Amino acid sequence: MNLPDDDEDVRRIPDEPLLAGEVVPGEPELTSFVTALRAQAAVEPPAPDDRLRALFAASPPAAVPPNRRRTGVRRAVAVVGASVGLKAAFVTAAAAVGIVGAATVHGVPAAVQQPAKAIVGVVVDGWHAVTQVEPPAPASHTGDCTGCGGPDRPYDGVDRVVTALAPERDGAERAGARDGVVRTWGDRFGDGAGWDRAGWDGAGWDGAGWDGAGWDGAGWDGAGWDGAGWDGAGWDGAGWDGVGWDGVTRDFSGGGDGYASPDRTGSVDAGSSPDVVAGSGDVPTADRSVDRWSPSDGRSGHGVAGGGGGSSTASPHPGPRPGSDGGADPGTNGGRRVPPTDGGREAPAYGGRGSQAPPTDGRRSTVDAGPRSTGWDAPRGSGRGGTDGDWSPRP
Amino acid sequence: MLDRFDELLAAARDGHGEAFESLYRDLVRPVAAYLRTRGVEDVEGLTNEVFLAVFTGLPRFDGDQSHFRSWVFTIAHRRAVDDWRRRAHSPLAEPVADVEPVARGSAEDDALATLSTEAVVALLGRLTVDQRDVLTLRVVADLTLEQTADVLGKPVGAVKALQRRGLAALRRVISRQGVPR
Repeated sequence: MNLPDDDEDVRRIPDEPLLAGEVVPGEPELTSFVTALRAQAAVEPPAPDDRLRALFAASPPAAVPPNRRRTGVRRAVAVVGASVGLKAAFVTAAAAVGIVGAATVHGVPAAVQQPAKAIVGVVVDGWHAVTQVEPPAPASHTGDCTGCGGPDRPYDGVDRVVTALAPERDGAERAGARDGVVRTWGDRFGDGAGWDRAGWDGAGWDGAGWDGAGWDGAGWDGAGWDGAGWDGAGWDGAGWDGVGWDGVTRDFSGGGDGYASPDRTGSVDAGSSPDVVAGSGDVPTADRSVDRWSPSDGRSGHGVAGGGGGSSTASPHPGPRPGSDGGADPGTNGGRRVPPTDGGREAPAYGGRGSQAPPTDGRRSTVDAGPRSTGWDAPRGSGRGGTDGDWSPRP
Repeated sequence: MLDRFDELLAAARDGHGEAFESLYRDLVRPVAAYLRTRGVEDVEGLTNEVFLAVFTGLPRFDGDQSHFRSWVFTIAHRRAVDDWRRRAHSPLAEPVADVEPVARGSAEDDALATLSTEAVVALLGRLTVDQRDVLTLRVVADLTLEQTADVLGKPVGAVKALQRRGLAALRRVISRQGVPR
């Protein structure tokens, strides 16, 4: 059968009567097939599921759809309004934080900071105008510090809280010269001249912040030390040629008056103590005319050269002291009289001008480590570490 | 056919459950039959999906009962096509030989009169997809040529040609291989 025959065969099929269910003579197969196919529509249909049954059970909701629509609209408006409101609040808060930050944070370019400061000023003025409440002063560590006593900032007589940590510092302790912030104390008080030091009893300074270097002994007449606090250890007798000693053992507890001072070099070697009898009056004491001799405590490696926070542990052999920078004779510093220090930590750089350490509150500070002053009294009493009020300002 | 179709349609649009159910009862049998002869496996589930889609889209429908019937079968047809695509093959492509052949001759008419659903589906499986769609929509859904053309998105002449060729193909299959039971 070729294609034209197929087309002719197709054209001869009475399709419409067959599909309409009529009985077509000569086409019993197709008639039966269409009948069977049509019978498929009479098969019992599937039952509706729960969703369709719920639709069928719905009561006449004539008034419900409009209400639902209105409720839906109101709900949508509320959701959109809340969303927009939250976004606006968030953007406003972010802008406020940005402006205030630009106005206060150091390092922001002036081109940005000046407009931000102007905006903040307008807001603060407006707030003040409305509330009649004076805005709080800025923190001392932020903003300008006029009148703090620094360079180009004349001291205006107002005592301010000076933080130990400048705003631009990272808190790390560094050796070397201080920056302008640290020098603020010295700029304010100068060399200490003219300060009457009244009102300080010497208590509270642990010697921290000064390594003893730079004191030439000036300012102490040797009076007031009874020799207590040194057991004689640590001095090998070197540096004294015995000249001037008449062999008479004297009691210097009264201050050593009348003692002929030896010609000492001030060098004291560690570990070779002379045979001396520990105790008051039996030890060689300071020659008040030669201020280079060290009143080495010798009772404590911590307490003399280092200060060490006031440790009173006795150490008969003055070797390298714990907490020190090693090797140095405790209590000495090139033969010079040394006050207690902070146990070998690096001293601030303000020393070295022949001054003695001022009193502090016992805390290590990069700012108030002590003014540079002269004429401080030598330690009185035991001469130990200086943590128990052994130092006092000259009256 | 429904006597008060417009009233039922309006009531269904307003959410009347009874109107929904009347429209459903009128068309659920031909829709299920169409899906069944189309080779859909889950006829019950897909039938429910079709009517849910119809009632969901009812507010968007605009037309008379004839259009409504065409619209419902359009949805059914698209769902059947989607189902066929999901299964990636049509079970109607299975060979007729799987169905037990019957004898020819004088007993042929009796055999055709008792064709089972499986036999009908097997015979339709010998046709092309378009030929099968046209014949089932014309016979099972009782659609006119124009309605069938609307559902399938084809010209009326093309639907007419598919209809004739489908019937001719069925006649050849039956004359050559007999009628499957």
